[in-house]
Amino acid sequence: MDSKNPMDDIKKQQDNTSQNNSEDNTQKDIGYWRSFQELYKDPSFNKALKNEFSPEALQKPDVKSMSAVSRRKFLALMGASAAFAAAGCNNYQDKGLIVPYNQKPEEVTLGLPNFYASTCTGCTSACGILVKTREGRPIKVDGNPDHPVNKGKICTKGQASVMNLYNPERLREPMMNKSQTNWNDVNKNITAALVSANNTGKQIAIVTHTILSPTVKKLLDEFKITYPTTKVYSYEPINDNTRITAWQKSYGKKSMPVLQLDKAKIILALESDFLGNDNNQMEFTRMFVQNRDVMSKNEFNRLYSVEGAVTITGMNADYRLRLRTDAIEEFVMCLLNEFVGKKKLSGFAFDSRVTTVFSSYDIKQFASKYKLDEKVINHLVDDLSKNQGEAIIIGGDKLPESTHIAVNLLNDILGNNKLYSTDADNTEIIPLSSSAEMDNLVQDMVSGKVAVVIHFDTNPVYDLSPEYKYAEAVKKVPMSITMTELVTETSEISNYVLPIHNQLESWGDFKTRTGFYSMQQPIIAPLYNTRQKEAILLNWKDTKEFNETLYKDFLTAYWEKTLYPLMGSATHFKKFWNSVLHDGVVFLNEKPETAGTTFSVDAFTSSSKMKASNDFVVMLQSNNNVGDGRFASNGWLQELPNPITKIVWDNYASISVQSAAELGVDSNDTIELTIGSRKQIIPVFVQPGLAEKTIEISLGYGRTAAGIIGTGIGVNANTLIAKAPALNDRLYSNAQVAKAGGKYELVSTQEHYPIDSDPLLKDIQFRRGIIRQGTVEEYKKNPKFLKEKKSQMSMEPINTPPIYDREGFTGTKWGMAIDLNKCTGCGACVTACNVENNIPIVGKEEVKNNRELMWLRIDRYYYGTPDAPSTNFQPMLCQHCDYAPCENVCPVAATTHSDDGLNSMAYNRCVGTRYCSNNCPYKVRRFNYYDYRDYVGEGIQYAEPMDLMANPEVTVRSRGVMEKCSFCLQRIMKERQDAIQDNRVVIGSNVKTACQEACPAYAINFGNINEIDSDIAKYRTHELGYSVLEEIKVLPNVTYMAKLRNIYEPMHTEETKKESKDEKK
Amino acid sequence: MNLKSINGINNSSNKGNLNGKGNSPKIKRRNFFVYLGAGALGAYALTKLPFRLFQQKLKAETGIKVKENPYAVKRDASKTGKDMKGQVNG
Repeated sequence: MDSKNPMDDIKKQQDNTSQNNSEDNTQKDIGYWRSFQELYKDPSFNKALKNEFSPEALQKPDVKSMSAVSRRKFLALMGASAAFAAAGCNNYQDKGLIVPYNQKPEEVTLGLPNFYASTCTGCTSACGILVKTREGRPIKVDGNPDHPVNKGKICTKGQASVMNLYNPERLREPMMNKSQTNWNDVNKNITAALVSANNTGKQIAIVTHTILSPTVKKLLDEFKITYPTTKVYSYEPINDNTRITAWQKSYGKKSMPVLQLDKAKIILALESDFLGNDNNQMEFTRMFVQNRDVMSKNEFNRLYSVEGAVTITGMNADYRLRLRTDAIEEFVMCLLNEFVGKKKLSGFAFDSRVTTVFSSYDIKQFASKYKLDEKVINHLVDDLSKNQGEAIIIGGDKLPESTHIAVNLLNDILGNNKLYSTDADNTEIIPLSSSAEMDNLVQDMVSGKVAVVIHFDTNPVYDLSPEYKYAEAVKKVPMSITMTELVTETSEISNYVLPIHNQLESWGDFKTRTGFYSMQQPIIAPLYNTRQKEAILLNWKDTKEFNETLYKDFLTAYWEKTLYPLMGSATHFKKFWNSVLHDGVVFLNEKPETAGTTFSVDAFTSSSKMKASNDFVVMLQSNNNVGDGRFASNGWLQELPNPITKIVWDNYASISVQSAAELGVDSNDTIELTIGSRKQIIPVFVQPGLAEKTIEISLGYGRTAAGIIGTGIGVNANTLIAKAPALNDRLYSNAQVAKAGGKYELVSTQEHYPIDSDPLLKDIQFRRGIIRQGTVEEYKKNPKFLKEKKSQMSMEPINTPPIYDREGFTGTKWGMAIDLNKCTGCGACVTACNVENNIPIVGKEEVKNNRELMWLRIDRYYYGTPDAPSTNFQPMLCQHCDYAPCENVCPVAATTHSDDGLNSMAYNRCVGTRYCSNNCPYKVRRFNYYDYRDYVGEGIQYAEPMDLMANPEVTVRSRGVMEKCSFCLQRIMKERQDAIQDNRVVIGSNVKTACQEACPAYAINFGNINEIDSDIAKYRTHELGYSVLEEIKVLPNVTYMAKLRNIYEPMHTEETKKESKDEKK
Repeated sequence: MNLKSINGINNSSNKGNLNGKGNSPKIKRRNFFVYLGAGALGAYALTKLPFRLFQQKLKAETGIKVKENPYAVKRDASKTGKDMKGQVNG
């Protein structure tokens, strides 16, 4: 029996690679790679390289899964159908719904969109949104530009949230013991139970998520007055608790300050994904890229990342050190000893209570123990000392409280507290319940002390640690009520399930910071017989007759009596209120709580310190897709590739190469994780760059009641959460891992659509310069250094002379620029494109067959060794080439060129030969192998009311049609229309494509490249601008800005230039 | 004159056409009216009976009424994001 483990080969090869790498101490000779198969020249990958298209792509569609109709039968049916239709003479496509209004609503102009400001309730950031409606239907959610935090940008979840409104599986009527009932009976029964609970002294428990609304707080306070036995419990699966409590202990102040990341020259992220999954992604991304802008005079910041996981932040770092998470506190101690103990940078140097805590830590020994690059450590220490007061150290939300306290001290010592904003801090309306309080609730439920439990749009059965045994406790409560939009694990075991409004049907006000409130208003009247959850409580409180404006009136009255007088506004309240709703945000003259300026030494000395263990570390991550599971029913988010792994429709245990080899597992194997008494079996994904003995798992998957789309997707990692965790509820350092046996197929898009697969030219993707990069220093010395390097790489043009005469374009010519210095790879642009262009989901199986339909993808390239890869992200979309190779192969001229430089598609002319896709060098064309709206999830995308979500400006495509990015042609048409109406020329910068509008990093620019003074024209002529595959002379109209890394070591030495020349020879 | 000798065509169908002229089966007057009546009844049934052969997926008859919320305040056209620049404005 051959017991040889396939991972052994990989390990050996990796060892060889590492050895070679350490010999010359450089990563440049390895080139770009996207997977281990590519790096180790796996025969299957080489075979795939030779075949431009995967076998699945070349397969004929599965005829069996269509309809088995013979030609003869087809013609007979066609003839009969035509005869019947003609005989019937009836209009079977009932167009009744598109008759004009008898009485047109004043606010609606047919064919023109309306915009409404509101607030997103998808997470605790409460970002401002601007909702676009057409004829009353919300069709697109973007950021509210007036909102001071997210400033016009919104994350992937916010972008895709419009699908939640139209989810056909939303609950439409109240249910009592799984039978449909009506609101009158519901209210009668529940009110009686509440009164009874009150009279008998039994508890009424309200279980909520974080309360961000002052009006909801008032409502809950009043509810408690009516029913004094009420207790409110709040929890948040993805929370920032340890950071907040650390801050309170360090400075004795409740609210944490806002970080001014835009003023930081040096940023050190410690297991922090501030550009990705940690809270406040939109604001941090904007602040970060402000100093990554090659068009501005701003100096580039330098980002160091020390992490065990692989995050978007780490992948965007100039220097990244991989370190298991439970050793990060020791790393902070080493830095403290370096700055306080050795360099005596602070008065704390003479406080023995402080210095004794870290005096035994030495950074050199530490670096040696964990194999950290000493050169990088030296750079970090130098940078932090030289930039005191202009650097910031950020701890991630999974770190324990003690680490955050140490980080606070380090920032204090280096004078970095200058970057804590004095104008605004983060506020808290009601603090989250502690685990002891939640445990008390469960004990009370079990012991019969709770008469009524109300789940206020929460799903604790799924969210909470299994150690609480919450589901069993709920079953012992006489009346359990769940207010929810969709069926959940908690609603499944509740007596009453009350359907509630979607966020776009609700009123609200939110306060996340000092100085402003963010307002929520309903964009659309309720689609079903649902009620706003606050209005339901209000109705039970007042026992008055319900009306739809109940909560709106309560909100308005609270504002008029309480908050409006504080504003000192001279305007009449009604006018003030209208302006508040119009803007979606209202500012008030409010200062943060007075800061405690002195760091509490006791907080530092008394906290128990985290020590690295020898076991596996397990990190439970929030994620950009389904969040904590609330978005599991959203197909767009399930199908959005993870920014790093590019896996869709699943979660998995990411594990390092070395650890996988030691365990004898590979990607798609399964492992059993054991943390204390908690166990879970989960598939493995071998992830480059992950720290040894570290496992990273996304939360939010493994739902058992999340509708057709979300049920049974992935594994429920909440089952690993402890009730009283030692470090953090999302970090464990005592995990045992064993191979579980069996396989589970994960589907990744990372090797789909390779554009560098010419087998005749070795390492062509490197020399072709698909990704171009250098250092900031090199750029400063010679701004044209990459252009000069390009000439060495340039190859003979392929298409000379060109087939078409495409010179000219003297009028408008549309073009796009994408700045790779700013792009963080978050995926907001991909989701925005999906929503704008009515792109359906295709399901996991079809993604596996390379048939995803997203018009815009983000290519992720690794560079370097599997242990320490550097990463480049590159958004890839139709390049709208002047000499588009797709156009001259289309036999029916379905894809043609417009006078303003667009490569257009005529869908009703396309016969689906797919020649254009074959001939596209960028692999950006997508073919509808099926009618995916009908194909996925029992045809849920055709179910009522999903059709209301469609953007009427964009054709809904069906089977057999090729499609691709149109540069948001509908938005260009709108500008043309406006220009004609205003009697002016088209202004390129007035057009914002959906991806551009969504990009939180402002990485995408669009406009008329013939407008000399426009931004897009400046990008086109910039020294760092280049086109992908420019040597094939198809003249693309998308310009990429080369990536500059702010590192000390030059990337383009004379030696590498020489190598490049040799290779060319 | 012989057609074959003129055109050089030896086509059986031509031949058949020439020779078969006037031999097509004749539908009986009674049957014609029976078929016509049945066809008319079938057409009437198709239009009147609740067959939903073509309406399976269109679902045009919806119970969902869409209207903008009358209490919401819409944005002025000038404040719909047009003034957002492609550059960092933070």
